[in-house]
Amino acid sequence: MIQKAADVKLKVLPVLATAEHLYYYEGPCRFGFGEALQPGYDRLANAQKVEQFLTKVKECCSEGIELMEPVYLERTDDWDNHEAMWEKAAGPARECDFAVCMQGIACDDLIMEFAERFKKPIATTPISGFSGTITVATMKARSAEYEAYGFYKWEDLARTMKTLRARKVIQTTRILCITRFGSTTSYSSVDSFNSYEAITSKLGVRFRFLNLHEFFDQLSPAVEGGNPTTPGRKTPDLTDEDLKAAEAITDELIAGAEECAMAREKILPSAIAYVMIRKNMDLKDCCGFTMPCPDACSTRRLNEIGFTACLTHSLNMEQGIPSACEYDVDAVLSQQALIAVSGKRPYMGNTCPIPMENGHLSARFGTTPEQLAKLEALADNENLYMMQHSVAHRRIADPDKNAKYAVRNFAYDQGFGATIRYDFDADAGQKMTFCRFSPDGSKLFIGSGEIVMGGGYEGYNCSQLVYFKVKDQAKTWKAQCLAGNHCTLVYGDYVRELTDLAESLGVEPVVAD
Amino acid sequence: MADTEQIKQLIVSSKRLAAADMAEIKAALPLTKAFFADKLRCYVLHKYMLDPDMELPENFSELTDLSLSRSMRISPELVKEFDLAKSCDGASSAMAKKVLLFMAIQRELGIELPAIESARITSLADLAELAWNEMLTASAWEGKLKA
Repeated sequence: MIQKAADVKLKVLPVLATAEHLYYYEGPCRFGFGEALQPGYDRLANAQKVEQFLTKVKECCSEGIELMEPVYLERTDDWDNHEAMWEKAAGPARECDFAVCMQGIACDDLIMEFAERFKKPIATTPISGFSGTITVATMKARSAEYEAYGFYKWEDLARTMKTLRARKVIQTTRILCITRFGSTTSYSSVDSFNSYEAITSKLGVRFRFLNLHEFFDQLSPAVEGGNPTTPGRKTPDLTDEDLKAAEAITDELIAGAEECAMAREKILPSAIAYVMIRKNMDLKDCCGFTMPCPDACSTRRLNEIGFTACLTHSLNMEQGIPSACEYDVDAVLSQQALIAVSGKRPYMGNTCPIPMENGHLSARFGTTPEQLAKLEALADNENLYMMQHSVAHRRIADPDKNAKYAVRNFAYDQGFGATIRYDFDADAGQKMTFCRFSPDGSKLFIGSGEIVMGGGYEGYNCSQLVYFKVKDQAKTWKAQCLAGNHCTLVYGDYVRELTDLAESLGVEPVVAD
Repeated sequence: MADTEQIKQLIVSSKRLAAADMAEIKAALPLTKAFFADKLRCYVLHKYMLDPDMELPENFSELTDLSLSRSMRISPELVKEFDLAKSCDGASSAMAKKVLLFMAIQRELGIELPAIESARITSLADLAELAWNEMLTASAWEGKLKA
């Protein structure tokens, strides 16, 4: 099954610790008038507090937050603490991701025992008054491993729940890596993660591998005796159903395009590759994808079959599934981070400054003299950046609606390799956020900018790009050099959300601004 | 001084009127649900020092805030502000006022209101419904109620 980021729910468990006085008495911990001191009063008063608490917590829940049925930790002034209560709490406690606690005077120990028993992140809320600091400080003093939050404002609870959901998205990410040589790096993205074990250990992300030649063999119908790379084995080869799905995708792409420069039969192999990649992702329960470019290209089998993975990446990304070129698993996870915090659809590519040297903007791969001249004519062109790859798609601006697009080939000479072209010109002035993890996963580079113009909509190959201006080109570059080349962007300002996510993952945020 | 005297008088007369409402509930034979709901409404409003003949909000929490604002001589908006400063057990004065009302109703009618449902009451009609349902199974009311 492919579990998209949008499908990931943060399970939030309200933990309600209450105390009930069984007798009439007054003293340093209890005071009041008349019936407020009578047995039975606390039963009703606690229900009021619980109702108010649950209403407030519900108001803090946004999309992707699942509020569970509450767990009650009830005691009386006999100071009872029965195992039966904990046994009842154990099921929901194990199931939850985050416990939001309500407690008052003389109940803090119950919340601490909950955290100690079940080792789940806990939070106190404004309703807990002084208990917030009491509980959180005690938990942190007992062990640095306890994750405890004390919120004095409800909006902080809402913000943190969003962050923890995004963290869960990252921690449950499974990436399908189609590889030819070593499973860590390809020849064109050595700045990708340098140790999968370290990334799994630190971030929880898992990597599932598939041999490139075995995959290529699957792109045609099964042959008697099994595929050449896996003789005698049953493999998920192309079926009639797969072919029909690929044909439908091809026809839909052609029909919806403002311009299609490719013949149907030239698009179809890329669509078949997409269908088969998704089939393998589904079989391996992966929600992210990457495969190499140069390593695959040099087998000459891409040429033989007549496809590139560009279309797969575009279609994945426009559906909220991270998918990166050139076996860049780092870029896959960076996309996932952006999807998780924004719910939007990412774009990725080679990312670099367009420097002003000797009064002119310097050319970079994919730029054209016409584009540079247009940029030079701008009043503010000192802090320009660009992102370039042929994996644009139709839902960059709006995750729910296709934008206008064109379909053009990647390979100039033979005309294969379907790519979707998106006109970034239409989005000039749009704020955007981009990011990339460092190769060791210890940092998350976070940049922001404003789109200036697009390029390559009418071009072929890898010439699709977007130009944007950043606050400070030099500072952005310096920070990016801690992360690497392929950055990924979404529209909107998500710097704060990404910073929160990085911190919750134990990753250092490196904000370009 | 005049203000203090006025408040004292209001408290005394409200208590008296509330007691009379409750006495009517107890004296009715059979006690119909409609009569009970009407008299319980008067009882609550009198306890809250509010005039049942006035135009009043339906919402129970708003009524509670209005009552607090009367007794504290501040606007209902300020009551909400004031309530942010809670006691060390996390209960607000509006919560306490509601619970004290429930305690009085329980005592007067010989019933025990279910806690969770009592916290979800949004109108006086809800309160009457909840209390009536408890009275239906209470020994003190056996044979005295008529739907």
